[in-house]
Amino acid sequence: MLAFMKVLQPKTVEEAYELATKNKTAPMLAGGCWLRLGRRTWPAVIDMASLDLRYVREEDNEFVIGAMATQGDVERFEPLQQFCGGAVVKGVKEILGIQFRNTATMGGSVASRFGFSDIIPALMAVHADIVTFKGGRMSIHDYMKYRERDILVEIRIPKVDVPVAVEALRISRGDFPVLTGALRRDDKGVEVYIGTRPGVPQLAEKASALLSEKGLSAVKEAGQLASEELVYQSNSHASKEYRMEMVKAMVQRLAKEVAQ
Amino acid sequence: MELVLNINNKNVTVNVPTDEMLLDTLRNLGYYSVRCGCDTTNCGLCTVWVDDEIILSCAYPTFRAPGHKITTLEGLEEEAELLAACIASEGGDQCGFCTTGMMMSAINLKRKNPKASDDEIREYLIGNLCRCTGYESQLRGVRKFLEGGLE
Repeated sequence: MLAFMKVLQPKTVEEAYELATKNKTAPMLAGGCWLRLGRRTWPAVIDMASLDLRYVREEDNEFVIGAMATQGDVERFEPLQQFCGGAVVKGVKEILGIQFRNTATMGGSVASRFGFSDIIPALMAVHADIVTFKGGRMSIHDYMKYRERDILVEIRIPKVDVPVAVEALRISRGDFPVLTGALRRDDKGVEVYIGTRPGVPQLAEKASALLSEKGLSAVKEAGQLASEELVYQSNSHASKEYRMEMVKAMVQRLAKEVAQ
Repeated sequence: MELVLNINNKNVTVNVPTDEMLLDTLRNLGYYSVRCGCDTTNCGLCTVWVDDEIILSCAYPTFRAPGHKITTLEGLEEEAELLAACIASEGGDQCGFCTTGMMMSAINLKRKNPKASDDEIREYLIGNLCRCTGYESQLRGVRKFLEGGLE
């Protein structure tokens, strides 16, 4: 149920920011897919649809994804199909069905900072930056900790085409993932990100350092480290113990994919 | 709020509550092919087209619809009739509650990818849940539809 008394319809990002500042309890309505799972009646919502933020484009050095671009817009964007092994496209392609992905937006998916997000580990691995109206440009890692009430304007991805693998473990296709991960290998080393623990995706620092130092052949040990160094919990989808076991296999799968 | 919607190529003026979703607006206007199943963006029963893309009308606020082209199964009668016959001939109709939403996806697929493989059909229909058929009979029905219909 998505119930509200009033809709505020700003025409510019600046106006949206002012409305968000004045109406501190009003949620920002992007795709609305998750907001409607609640049972609350909101006094007002701020509609983001008129801000001209629905775009996906390729610039000289970056890909730019507007906050109101749908997951489907990204999935169909040709220049992203092969970039970083198709990591960004893979990060959206397994999410429910096509009609859901044509409704849910990239801005809504990132701003919600869901632990079970398929997209966030992929965006971390391609070193995406988030641009907000007030806070400006920041890394997606910083954005995960950013608590200001701000407007997410766009996602910027540097065009550095390196091997990236993205994986999600699901009990059945189209379901929520029970574990997500991404692995990046570049000239600086290896980075392993694990999400749906069920917390927000994080860099597995020790596993990444080990793989950077010893190479992908140390993947079993790295999987063990990833299982030990991050916090895992149980929820209705999977137990803590299951996640801690399965992350070892996930790191191996990610490494295998990158090696190929 | 008063809005002008373009539904199946006809302009319709509606007066709706601020927080009404397109699903409810369409049903209130008599477009009964659009159905409410889960109401939580999971089942695909409420699938309609907005500007020729399949979307979930249960999560689409009606106030966003002006200026967009909305299509329901009532606006696709000829294709719907053929697809329904194909699905029925393969035993894919069963209780039929999910069928209209699934047909919206299948007709959309035919327009975008008329030579879709079985895997591509499955991928396109993954957002349309069915509790009766096990999907195989629906797959055969959609495949028959893509191949041109009943012999």
